[in-house]
Amino acid sequence: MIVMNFRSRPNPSLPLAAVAWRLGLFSALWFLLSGGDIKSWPFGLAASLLATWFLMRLPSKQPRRVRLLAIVWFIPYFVGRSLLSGVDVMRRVLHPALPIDPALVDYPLVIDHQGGRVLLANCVSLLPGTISARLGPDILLVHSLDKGLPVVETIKDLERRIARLYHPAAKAKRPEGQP
Amino acid sequence: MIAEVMGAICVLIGIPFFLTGTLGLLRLPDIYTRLHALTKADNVGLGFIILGLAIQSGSWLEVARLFLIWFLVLLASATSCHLIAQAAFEKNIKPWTKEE
Repeated sequence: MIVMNFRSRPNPSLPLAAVAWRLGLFSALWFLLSGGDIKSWPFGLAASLLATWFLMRLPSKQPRRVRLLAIVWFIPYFVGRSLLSGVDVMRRVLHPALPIDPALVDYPLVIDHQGGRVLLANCVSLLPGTISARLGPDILLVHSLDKGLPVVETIKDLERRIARLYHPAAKAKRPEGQP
Repeated sequence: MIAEVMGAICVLIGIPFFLTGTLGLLRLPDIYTRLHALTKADNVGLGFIILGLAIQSGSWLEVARLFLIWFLVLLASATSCHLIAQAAFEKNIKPWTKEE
């Protein structure tokens, strides 16, 4: 999910290194997708320039470095969960009685990093039995396919794992005294 | 030969997930529950098909391209799932609930 917010001012100083880095990344992406066909390069370059321009206009309030090793560890968890969630939904849909009992659940967000919150909302839609319905300032509204599932516990675990992706570790600990 | 068979098996495993997504669209009662079936089942189905094609493919560039496509589809489908759910919620579409 990409949250566009054009109301805030674009980055006033345009650091050349940042532009070059992004342009390089998008060009590499195009090269990979197009298979290196020379004829496609005018389009690829135009698309890369446009994507870089968009990206530079997005506000970056909390620039955080990500931890590459943590991302590598996150992938098997993510793939495993996606698989479980696909099997879960398959079981429910194929069952003659259609065993679902949906409900809306409010999840109070703990992680303070906006990028992490967006990633969390996206991953929630791939966990077994949950999709994210609305990302509020402090609450993630989740639609659960079954009231009986431990929705809050599962998302809490996911949130902790996502917090570990950022460096320095984004806050993911619930303040004392709060449920 | 072994790669061909393994790849074919993965593709065959992926197909029922796509069928489930469509069956869910028909059987489930409301927009939210249908989103569950479509996003999750289709992602897993595509994952298996991509894996199968990657096993059969001969070049690393092609493998990288296949997984990149998977990642981009994953991103797009999670985003659109969230946007559709959010739009439905803001239109006050009440989620279907089981009768007590």
